[in-house]
Amino acid sequence: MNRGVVLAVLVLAVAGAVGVSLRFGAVDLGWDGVWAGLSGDGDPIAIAITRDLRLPRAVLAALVGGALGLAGATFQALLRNPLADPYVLGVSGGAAVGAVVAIGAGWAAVATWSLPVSAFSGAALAVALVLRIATNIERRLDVRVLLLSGVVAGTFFNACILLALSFQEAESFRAAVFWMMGGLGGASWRLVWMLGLALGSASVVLLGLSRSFDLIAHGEETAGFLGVPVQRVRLLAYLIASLLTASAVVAAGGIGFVGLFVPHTVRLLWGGGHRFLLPATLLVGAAFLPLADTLARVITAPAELPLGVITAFVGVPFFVLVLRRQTRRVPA
Amino acid sequence: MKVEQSDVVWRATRLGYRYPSGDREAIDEATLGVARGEIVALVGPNGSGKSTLIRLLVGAREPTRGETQLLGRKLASWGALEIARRIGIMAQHEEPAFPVTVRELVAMGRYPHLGAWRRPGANDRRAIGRALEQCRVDTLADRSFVTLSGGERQRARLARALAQEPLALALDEPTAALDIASEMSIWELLRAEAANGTTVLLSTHNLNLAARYADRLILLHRGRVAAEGTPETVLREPTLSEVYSWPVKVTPHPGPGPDQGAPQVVPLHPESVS
Repeated sequence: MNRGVVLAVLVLAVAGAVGVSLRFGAVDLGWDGVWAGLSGDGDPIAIAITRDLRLPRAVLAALVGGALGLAGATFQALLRNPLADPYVLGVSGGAAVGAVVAIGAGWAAVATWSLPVSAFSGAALAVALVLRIATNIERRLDVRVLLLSGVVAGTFFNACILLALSFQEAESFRAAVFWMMGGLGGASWRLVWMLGLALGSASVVLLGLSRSFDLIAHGEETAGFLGVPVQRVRLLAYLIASLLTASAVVAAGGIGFVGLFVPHTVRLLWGGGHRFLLPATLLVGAAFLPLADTLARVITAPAELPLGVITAFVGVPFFVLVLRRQTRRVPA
Repeated sequence: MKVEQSDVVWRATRLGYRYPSGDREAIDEATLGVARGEIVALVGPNGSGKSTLIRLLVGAREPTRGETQLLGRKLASWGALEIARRIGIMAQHEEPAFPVTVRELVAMGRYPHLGAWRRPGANDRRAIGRALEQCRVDTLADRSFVTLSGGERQRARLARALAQEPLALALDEPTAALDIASEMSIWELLRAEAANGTTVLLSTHNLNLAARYADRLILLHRGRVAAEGTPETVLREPTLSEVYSWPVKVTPHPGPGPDQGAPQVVPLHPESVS
């Protein structure tokens, strides 16, 4: 299939996923109800549910899914490893610690912008830390050590959150759990704008780097020999992937594995260079997460499951599958 | 474009390099030159500094001492893209993390001319098509790179370097681990390229083919230039026996063919010399 057609179909899929997310929930509005709620002539309760509750949540879910998918594809290209993803690398955990610190120290209550800034600092620090651990004296990256240090860092960050939590009141406790498990319960238009802005600008820059990504993913040395400024591209891309991860974490907490299996699915289904892979990953992530969130809201309605639970149930088997394929391909 | 008229492609003066983790100089006081249109082979034992020297000459590493001139201009003053538009470089190893087809691989050779944004045009497609044909990988264009045999892989990688339309090639052991036919086809390709005016600098362990195809050899030993010149001047029994720590005999190529008489190196049984 033509790549342009694929992208067009994916845009429709995102719209469809948002639609499904608008219709289903504790109350099934039906398509008529969704339409009536959106257009504003109908039952005032239906209007309130669609416009104020479900629409910002569905759009935010799509943005978070897109951001995580894009961040995952970026990490995979830079680290030349299909197992890289913001969650596995501990970057989500770093952002969550940053967010919890901002809340716990009371900065977030004083200045709202300190929350995303603190989360971004946490994410960037986590990237720097994990890379530092895995870089040897010849300044080469050992990707096996990298994944391991990512997992260790992630566990450590979770422990930090648990520690912060044990000194907190019940209200902060819930907030901390939210950062660890992930969920879209806090969705608001303000978050939609914040994430939309981050995702929009990140997409433009990453798309500009896509040809360099093709070469770096193929081989760092070869990319350098072909004139790619590998170090500069990597630094910029790490910053942007950290920004995307931090924005996603501020909006929805630590949602795992979306950045892992979304780029993979795109590669398996259509293959291709990053000029296609990046936008396709964004769109598949944006279609997947509203559906996962709908499931999280419907399965135990009126109670909600943490969204991270749903993505982990999909993502972990996928991770194992990819890991198995790798171990079978690469001789010890 | 004045630099392009320089007759000397590379000139390195007293080059020195030590790896951050190294306990001795990997390259030590190396002085050498490569002229336009030459085939120059870097030879020497494992660990003698061949790969390091190539990396220094293409600007992939900065020398700790000495200086390199590329086309009459200080190498350090060249940008990475400027170098890549003129020199096709092939590293020893290449392990793609994600699958690519041969055509995609060869198309990467256009990056130095396209940069990050420009779309490939007719020129680029022509260069890719020509490189695929020259290296006889046009029939493999849609195959995945990792499914190719060793010889096919090297030809595909060479095609990428040729797609750069370079004026010089710098190849690190392009014929390592290849069978006779695959290895010979690479050397023949390089000879044809050199006949078209492309300068070729390559490292190899095959002294006998280097003696037949290269205009000049540079013999490295522990990072130093142990001998340099035509195959006849470099491939001498005492020098080789010392550098390789193994007794050898040098004998003329028996022919037939244009290479008849070229010096050929035969390693001897260690007990055959007292």
